[in-house]
Amino acid sequence: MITDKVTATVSTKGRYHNTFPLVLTSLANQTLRPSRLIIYDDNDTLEDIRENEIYRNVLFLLNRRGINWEVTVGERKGQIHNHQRALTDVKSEFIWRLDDDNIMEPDTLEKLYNYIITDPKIAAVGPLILDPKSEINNKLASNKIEDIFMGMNIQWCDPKVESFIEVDHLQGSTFLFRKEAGAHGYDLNLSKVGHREETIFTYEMRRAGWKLVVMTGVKTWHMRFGAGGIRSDQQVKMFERDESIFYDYLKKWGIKPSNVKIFPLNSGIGDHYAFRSILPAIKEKWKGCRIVIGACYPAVFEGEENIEIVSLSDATSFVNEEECNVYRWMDQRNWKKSLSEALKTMYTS
Amino acid sequence: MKKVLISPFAQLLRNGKENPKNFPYWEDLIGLMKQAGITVIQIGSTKDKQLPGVDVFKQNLRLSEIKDLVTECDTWISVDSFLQHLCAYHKLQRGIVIFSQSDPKIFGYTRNINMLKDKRYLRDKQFWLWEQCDYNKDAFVSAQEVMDTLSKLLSDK
Repeated sequence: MITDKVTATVSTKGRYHNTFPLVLTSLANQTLRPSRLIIYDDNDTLEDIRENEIYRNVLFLLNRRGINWEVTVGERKGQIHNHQRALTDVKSEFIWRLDDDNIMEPDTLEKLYNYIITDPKIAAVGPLILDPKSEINNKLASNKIEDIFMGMNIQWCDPKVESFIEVDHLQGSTFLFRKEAGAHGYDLNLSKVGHREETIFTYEMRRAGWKLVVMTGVKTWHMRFGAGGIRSDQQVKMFERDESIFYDYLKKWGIKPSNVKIFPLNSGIGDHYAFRSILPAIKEKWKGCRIVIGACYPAVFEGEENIEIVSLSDATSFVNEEECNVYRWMDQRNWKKSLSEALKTMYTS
Repeated sequence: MKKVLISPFAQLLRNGKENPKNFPYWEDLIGLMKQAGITVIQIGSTKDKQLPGVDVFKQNLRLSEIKDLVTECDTWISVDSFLQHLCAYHKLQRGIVIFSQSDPKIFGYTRNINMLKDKRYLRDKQFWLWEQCDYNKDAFVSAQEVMDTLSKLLSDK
């Protein structure tokens, strides 16, 4: 099926000969396909992809599958400038933003589209964006704006159940949105890497009263690749500058980022009890923080208030387990006092 | 009749070897306890074996059930394992902890009676994995010494 209600857009750089053909192929294989595709070619050295035999096949395939594609030279100022242009170039009601290293499962657009049209207040719907090499399902993952610095959002996790979760912002460059809801545009002050651009763009929708939804039954695959895209610039300073802009946004929005303190306990039951005995001191030290314990024996903490228990593996996604190993800590200091005192000193001084 | 809970085994090692914290004279000690008319209640995991002479053997109890069971008993005896930490956290009655190569000043609680045969048996690397340590039967106090300590503890109650 073809729909003229959706235009797909993709900004690409450094991906001619690695992931980009995969993106186009997965687009051609959608059960519901957009009638139009705009490719923003942001490469510094342009290639005519029609001259490439693989691309020629893929482009003919797109045509045969009813997708009218066009290539336009990007702004070469970073992908956000191309996303901004798309807001003008696209005439359809919906824009399906695609990342140039994402493979969409065949029913991606069909499911996203069928859901977004159920409610005119939904601004955008995002799929899961999964790394095929690592299977993650982390209880701490969150798309609440307060949790932005946790570094783990629900779109990177596969809960293996279909659900529709209202969120504060979308992460990852691939999502379907209502053009009208994106009228505020992108922040063009961001650098070429466009760090946090989708968070700023979608959270502004949320602030304007729109709904944002993550569909956990819809999967796209992130084919991480060490070159190209925003990584090709290799400029940490750009990320830092964008992060500073993002902090200004948080201030403007009145958001106080959640402060989470995570304690991974890769140890036996006895050590868990020793840790529990120093929890009052930890709570005092980290007053106002979310205290999260990655426990092998959650039963040890039954009845304990104002803490969250997650699995050890969930916790170690965020912290260096070895640095939190009290035995290593004691060994390095030739410790002679009690285990509980070691834990207390390690975590509260 | 006095009731004493015992937790005879430390966690199984990943290399399949005997945990160096495991007391080698449990059978002798249980024999002495039976002679003294003590009811012996053993706790353990599914993989643990029931020791001869034990009156009640409870496996895979929930931690809250262990806590309740300790409370019902007059005292408890264990090797250097989780039970001393559970009892210390919940401020349960004092018990006897049989040490061998781990240092009770680090891993024990002063509220308990920590039985260490001799400091010279303490391993140099107190914080290394137990898989990196050899079993040493000589490092333990005798069954009679534990029994004498237990008798005194029970008579003091």
